[in-house]
Amino acid sequence: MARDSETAVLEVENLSVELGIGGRWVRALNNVSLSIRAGEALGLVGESGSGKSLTALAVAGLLPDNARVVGGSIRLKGEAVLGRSEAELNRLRGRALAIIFQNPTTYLNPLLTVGAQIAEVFEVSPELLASEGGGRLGKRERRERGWRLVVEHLRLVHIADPERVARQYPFELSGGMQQRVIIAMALIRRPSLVIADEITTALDVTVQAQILSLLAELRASIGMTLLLITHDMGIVAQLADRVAVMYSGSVVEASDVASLFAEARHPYARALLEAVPKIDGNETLLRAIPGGIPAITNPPPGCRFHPRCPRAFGPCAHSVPAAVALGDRHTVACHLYRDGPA
Amino acid sequence: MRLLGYIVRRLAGLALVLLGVSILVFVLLRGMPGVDPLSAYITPGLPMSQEALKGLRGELHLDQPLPVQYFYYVADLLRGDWGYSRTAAQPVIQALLERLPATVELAVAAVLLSTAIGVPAGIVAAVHRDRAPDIAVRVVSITGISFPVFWLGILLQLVFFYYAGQLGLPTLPSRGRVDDLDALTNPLAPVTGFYLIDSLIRGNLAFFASALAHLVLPAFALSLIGLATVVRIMRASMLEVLRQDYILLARSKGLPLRTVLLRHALRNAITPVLTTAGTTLGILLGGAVVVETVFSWPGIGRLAAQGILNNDAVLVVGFTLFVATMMVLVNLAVDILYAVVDPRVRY
Repeated sequence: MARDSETAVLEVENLSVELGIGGRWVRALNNVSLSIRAGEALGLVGESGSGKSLTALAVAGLLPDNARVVGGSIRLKGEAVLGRSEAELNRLRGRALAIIFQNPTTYLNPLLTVGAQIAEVFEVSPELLASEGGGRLGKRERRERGWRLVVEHLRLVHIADPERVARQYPFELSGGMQQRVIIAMALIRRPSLVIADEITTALDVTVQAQILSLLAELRASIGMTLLLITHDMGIVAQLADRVAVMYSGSVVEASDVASLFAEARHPYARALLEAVPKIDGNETLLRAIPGGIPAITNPPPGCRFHPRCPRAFGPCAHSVPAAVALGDRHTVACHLYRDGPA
Repeated sequence: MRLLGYIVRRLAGLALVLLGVSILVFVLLRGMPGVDPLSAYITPGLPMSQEALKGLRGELHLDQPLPVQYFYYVADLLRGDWGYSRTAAQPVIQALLERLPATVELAVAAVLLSTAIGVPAGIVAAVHRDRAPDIAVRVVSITGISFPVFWLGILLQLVFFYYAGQLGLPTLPSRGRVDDLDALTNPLAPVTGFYLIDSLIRGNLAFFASALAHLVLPAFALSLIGLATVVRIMRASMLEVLRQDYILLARSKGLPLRTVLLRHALRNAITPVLTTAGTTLGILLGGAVVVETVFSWPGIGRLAAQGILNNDAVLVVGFTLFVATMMVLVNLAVDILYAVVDPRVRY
């Protein structure tokens, strides 16, 4: 992983997080490692409760009060995220990161106009309002430039009437429009990393498709680095370069998208791919993975997937498999591969 | 102009509420068993002939069926004839309006004080939930609401007027709206009836200082009625809002905590506090009876207390209608404030 550090925008190494549930601490993330290079899109996939969103919150330094980091490191643009004061974190978040959340209707403040909420970014990043030469502008010029930038970015996310929408309140917009607004808000300061957390789950299917193609287009046009959190393998195939599969708080396999789709190694990753419904074959039944994701309050010993794993054998029930490198940036955490490539 | 349409619609609703209140008050006035409404119009002990009584009864339409009487009653109310108060020795409406500014000044000062203390205290408690500042705020506010207001008023007078005077410290006045001497040496021609506002308009600073000093103790005593509620509601509402997704998004932008709290959380959390403050204001406008009596404050509450002690039914019923009207108006004002704060209400 060391060779990634020059180009990596995000590096998470052996991150472990515990949650306080019912008066005790339970392990919610277990030695999670991820890295994303500039311009890359990493899909982080897994079922609900696998720890995808918690990982994203940890990266942003926004873990809830009942969570604590018990090990590992997170570096954003080479700067450590963990162990920083709230003020330092605010500066880092403002410079380096933007999150697009799951449900647009609840993530916009109902009492502020869309334009005002986007323009808040300028308070954190006043340099966006500097003149072309970098000089400080007068108050009126800054207002005009801010307004122009807001309108410009609403147009960038294909909002037809940006001047009007900027003056509207969130409740006057549809869910898809609100999600576009949040995307515009995320992009306006060109963050080093954009985290997109299940951004289409709350939207209609047709709107989902529009938002996904918008993201693909923006990736190409402004070259953003993306951490794409989803449970949908189809979205990964469409948008991501690399993929990390999470199961019950651990990354079980990470590789480039093509290799994973061609030849997933971890039994869970395979099962996940097989569970994607296909419309070309004659199959009418949806394939499901037997069993359910274990409760983090009472996880099974050993590999957390072993009770559901078709290929479980001797060591799986009592020893946690470590990540094994299978080639260039391809790792898998499974006892089947503990002696290198099988 | 959606806001204007909203206000017009609310005013129409207001008329209906007042109609209901007037019916209730009328039933109270005429329906009280064993009380002949005529007795409010005759001087006890002064002999009157049966014919004269009958004539008076007819003149006052008291020989008509109740619905007809109600019609005359409302017509009188609308003309501003609310009856004559024996206690104040003047018409009820005049007695109330004359004393209203004193009560409004005191009630508004008390509500402003409880909001000015309660809102920041509630925010601090919510942000430091279950830690020392939160516990301190909760203990103090519970203690505050546990004191009976009349007792607290007397205690305040004792400490800041009597004991402070004994020790030669500066004292705060314990009775009335203004010092008689100040009022004599720097007389104030009324404009609105509110001493603080009028003295500022007239540039009469000596009068202003005296009126302000007189307001401190009663306003503080009265503010404790609403303070604990404001703190508790602000804290609960803030905790609720801080859990919302848009707060997480605001934080993810890198906005400082102060901005997140004041711009994003406070505006969303303040609406329940507005209701509380409005209701408290309504209650204080009508029910500052105890504090006005303890501090000899010449407002409508003290007048009502005197009316009750004097069996002055006309005054007491007039007072009830008056207070109900004010309560309704205050609620309307709160609803309009809602619409100003929250654009979704206007639709």
